Amino acid sequence: MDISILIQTIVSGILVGGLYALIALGMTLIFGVMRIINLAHGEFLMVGMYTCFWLFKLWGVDPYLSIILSIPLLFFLGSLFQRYVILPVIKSRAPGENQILLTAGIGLVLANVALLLFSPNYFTVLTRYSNATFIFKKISISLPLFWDFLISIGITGILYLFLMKTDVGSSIRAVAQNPDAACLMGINTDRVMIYTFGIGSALVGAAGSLFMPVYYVFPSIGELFTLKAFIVVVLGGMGSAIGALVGGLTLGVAESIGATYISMGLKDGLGFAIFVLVLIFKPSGLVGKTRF
Amino acid sequence: MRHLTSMIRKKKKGVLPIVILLVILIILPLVLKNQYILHLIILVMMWAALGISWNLLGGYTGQVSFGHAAFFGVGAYAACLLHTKLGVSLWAGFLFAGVAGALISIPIGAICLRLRGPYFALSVLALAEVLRLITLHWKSFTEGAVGILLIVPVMGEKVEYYYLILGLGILIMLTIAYILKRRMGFYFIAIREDEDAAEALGIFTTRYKLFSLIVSAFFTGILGSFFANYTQFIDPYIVFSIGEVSIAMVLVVVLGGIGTFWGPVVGALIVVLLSEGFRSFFAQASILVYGALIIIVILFLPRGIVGSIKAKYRLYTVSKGE
Amino acid sequence: MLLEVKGLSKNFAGLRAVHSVDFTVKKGEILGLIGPNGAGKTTIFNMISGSLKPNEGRILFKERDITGLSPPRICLLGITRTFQIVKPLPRLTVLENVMVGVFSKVKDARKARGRALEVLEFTEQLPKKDVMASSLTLGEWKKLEVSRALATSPEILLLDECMAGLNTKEISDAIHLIGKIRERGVTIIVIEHVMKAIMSISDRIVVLNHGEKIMEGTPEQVTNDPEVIKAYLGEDYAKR
Repeated sequence: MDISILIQTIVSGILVGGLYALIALGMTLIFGVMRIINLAHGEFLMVGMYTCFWLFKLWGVDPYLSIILSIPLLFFLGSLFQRYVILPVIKSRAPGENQILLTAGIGLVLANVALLLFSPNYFTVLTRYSNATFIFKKISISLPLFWDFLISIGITGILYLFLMKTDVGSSIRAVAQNPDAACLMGINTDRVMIYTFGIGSALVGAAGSLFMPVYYVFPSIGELFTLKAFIVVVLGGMGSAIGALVGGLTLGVAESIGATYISMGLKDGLGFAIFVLVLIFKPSGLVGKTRF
Repeated sequence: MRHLTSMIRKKKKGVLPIVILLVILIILPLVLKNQYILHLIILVMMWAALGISWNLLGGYTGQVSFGHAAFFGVGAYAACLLHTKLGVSLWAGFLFAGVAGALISIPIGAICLRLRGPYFALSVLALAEVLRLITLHWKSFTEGAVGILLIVPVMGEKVEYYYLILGLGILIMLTIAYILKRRMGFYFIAIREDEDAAEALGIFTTRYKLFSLIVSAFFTGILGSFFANYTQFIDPYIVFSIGEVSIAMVLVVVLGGIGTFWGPVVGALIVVLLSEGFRSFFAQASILVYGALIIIVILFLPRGIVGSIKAKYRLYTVSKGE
Repeated sequence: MLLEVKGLSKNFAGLRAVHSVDFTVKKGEILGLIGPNGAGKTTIFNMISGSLKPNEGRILFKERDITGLSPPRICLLGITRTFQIVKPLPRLTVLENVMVGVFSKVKDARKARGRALEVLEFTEQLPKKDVMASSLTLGEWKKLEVSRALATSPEILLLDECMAGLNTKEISDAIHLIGKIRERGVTIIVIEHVMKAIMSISDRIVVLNHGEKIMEGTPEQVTNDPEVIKAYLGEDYAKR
């Protein structure tokens, strides 16, 4: 067993994991507050990625700059869906499955619209630094992935501070813990839910921009990443931001080890295996029920 | 026959329309020679059967699944692989397909049905994806993306498939109607209505949820094998598809009326006709139609068509002072 | 001794909901469980019925240790509970609701239906048998809880505030029904706040406060005990 390969594998896994964590963060936030799994989450990622791509292709905007645009755009898009489509269903006290199904419908619509607008082709963003790497103690690290990791951690940290220290953040946490009590305390729960969905979407939109330099976009990419996000959320614990981080890193490392030691095609297998193990032995997630 | 006529005499209201429908369906192919319309009706019946199977678990037991393609695909592949690799007859393949579906459902059910929340619904989705990946990559066994072509399927004529799916559909409906009248059916519904109350009344909820899943997966598997024989070609993307299979099944039931007996039939009729309609004019937008339909149904008609009719009828009879 | 509760304790994240509670229940008696809100009464029911696992202590039913068994198992063994916040099965009729209870002991659907009709006749709910449970009034719901629990042919029936929210007539009907149930040979443990009712039906009463048993005795002994009066400040009894 070559240690340097193992370390390389783990490091790559951690870097990708940070990105996975950011993608899952939105989903876990939405679940924590509204108790629904957003099956359109991957499609929001797709929208973020296409935004980044077109900004780059049409106006040469660097992906890392396009985050500044993706975040408000996706926040707006998410808030819109929440306000006009999802909120009415939540308020009608429909069963949870209906709400999940609704988000599935939104996802399908978004994916198909993208297919019609942008064709099924794969698009990538190639910048000067897309393939750049640097060496650190004999480990080769992809530069864009490294930046992505740092930015992901940064955004996670900002979100955590936002949730803990600001009024809006506190009201979000309040609604997450007990929507009726929060409402009685004078919190406008509808608005909180709209913000939350907006923030969740914005997070995944930012992830889209970070993801473009290292991956590629196509209309059906949503399915794949909704599932990945769900796995991360389960691994870490539903509703827990720290959990999203732990889960993301775990999945990243598991996939990396799977790709290196098993095969590229079956790299997801190790991630699924851990997912199943968590469901059997610790369904509340590795981090568990800590609120945020 | 005698039982049927006495049933008709006893419950004139309920049984007669069903008998008439049945008679129409039976004589239709003898009268109608248009192959395309026959094809559409076969599709409607297949999706109705799929919806009914899903509905047992999702509608009556309250355990929604977004990954029934797992059982559909496993059934399709089981039937085809047993035939191409081991020469097993495609007729026997139907039964093996059902068994395969049921077997695959047991581990996922045992793990996830213990838990409350969206775990089961999405874990089945994950299962379908895993199966798709395995089928895709295990080329030596499953032919991977190349898929499996059934040069000689179980029967040749469309008409024969018509009667086969009609028979299967009736079998599935009768089985589920039978279950719903017995203790098991009551227990399924109790679990759906209130799991805590159900447990307090002596129901081992996980066990019964699992039963419901196994029956549902069994029938879905059989239908997967029907699909394989009818279309003569399967590949991992077709039979394990999230949008075209898993979510389509949910749409059929939710549109028709989740938890109602005839809902899936109505839903299948509408979904098949609509998507075939769109396929002719606007093929690429068929998924868009599914998605939009889901959103519209959930926003405006959450009980589905049959469910809404039932609710209005109940309101009507209650207001009449019953 | 039909039921023995020994040293039962339950903590919720640092809060001592129930602390070292002991009591016994004799076959055929009606035991009342009273105490101010938050005293731990429903928590004790939850532990007896299996919804919660105690942190300490044991529960013995017919000399058999049933501590920590699952709720369905405990129901099948012969102890059935009702819920304080009623849990009807909304989209089933009253008859079907009761049938679900009967099915715990009877497997055949036709026999179960017959038995369910008998139960409904006993509880005088027969006229409403085909009404959807969702359309009932609160009083009817409470009665349905009892009918359904009775349908499981329990040896011990745990009634959790089955009179809360009922009017005077409904309360006296409930008292009458409980008496009939006892005559059938069912042992009953009742949690109740309606003092007049619980004092009149109970053979013995256990009083809880802040998770601990503060007194046990006949209704007369309990109502005159200074500790009990202090715990309640006498308000509840004075009101009714």
